[in-house]
Amino acid sequence: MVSDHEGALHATNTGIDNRKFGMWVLIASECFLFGTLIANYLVNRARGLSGPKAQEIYEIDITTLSTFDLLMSSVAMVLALHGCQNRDVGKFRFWTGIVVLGGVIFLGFQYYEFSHFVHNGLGLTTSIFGSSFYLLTGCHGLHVLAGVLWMSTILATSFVRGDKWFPDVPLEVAGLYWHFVDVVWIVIFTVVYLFVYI
Amino acid sequence: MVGQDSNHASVRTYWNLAGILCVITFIEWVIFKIEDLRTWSAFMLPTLIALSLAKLIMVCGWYMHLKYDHKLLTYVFGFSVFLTMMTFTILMLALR
Repeated sequence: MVSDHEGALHATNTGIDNRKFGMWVLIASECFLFGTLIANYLVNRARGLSGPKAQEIYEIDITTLSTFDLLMSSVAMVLALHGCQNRDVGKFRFWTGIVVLGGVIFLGFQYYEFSHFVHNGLGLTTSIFGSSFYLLTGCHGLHVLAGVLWMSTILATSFVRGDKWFPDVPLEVAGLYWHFVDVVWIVIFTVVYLFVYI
Repeated sequence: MVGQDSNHASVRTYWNLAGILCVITFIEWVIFKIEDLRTWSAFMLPTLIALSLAKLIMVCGWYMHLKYDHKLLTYVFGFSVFLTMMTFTILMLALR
């Protein structure tokens, strides 16, 4: 049985693995990034002098579906970690694959949404509303893409290194990142999309 | 979890939480679909914020294991959220 942490775990003052603590520090800094991007959006959303307004082009039904998708990928993430920690390679790989699939589907929804908006006259430089919208949601989309690549790498590595490889800590760290991306989307879904008439 | 207590939630709990998260999102969608409510900010703001907060607590507490992990991680995350909210508020007040 090859566990990723064997021989790699060092004693720390806090008892928390350094990789995991490092991810939490990254998440803390990411909070500021998305906090300022959301503030930027809220300040500028009504300032667009040209192009369509948010109320005219948002498609809440599609966005709700993509929210469901991302929430379900978070469930898949915890189940992948559960499978890994219980040394069940089948479940570990299956649920990791579902996480990747969920991320890809979310990116597909985002591609559709952006195409729809551009088709309806809202480009990146159409108005300050458009710029702040694409900056916020595009930045989140890039984070999802990074998560998809990360999880794909773990899945591919699992096949390369065989049925006895169980990356407990790397998968948990990747999972923290993935859940944080989900948390950010929960905020964006409410503040950007559901508050559109407020 | 390595080097920590491994007293995480059960698979059943994860699925139950998934169901609750879906139901909350569905409620948010239904509220939004009722046209008379959309612009009623006195109702929409607190209701949607409360529903989102519930989802955030569930994801952070159970899926991110903060409920079971070392409390230091909760303090790190909580402090960053607090500072983010302060920065957010200042930006909104200064720029609006």
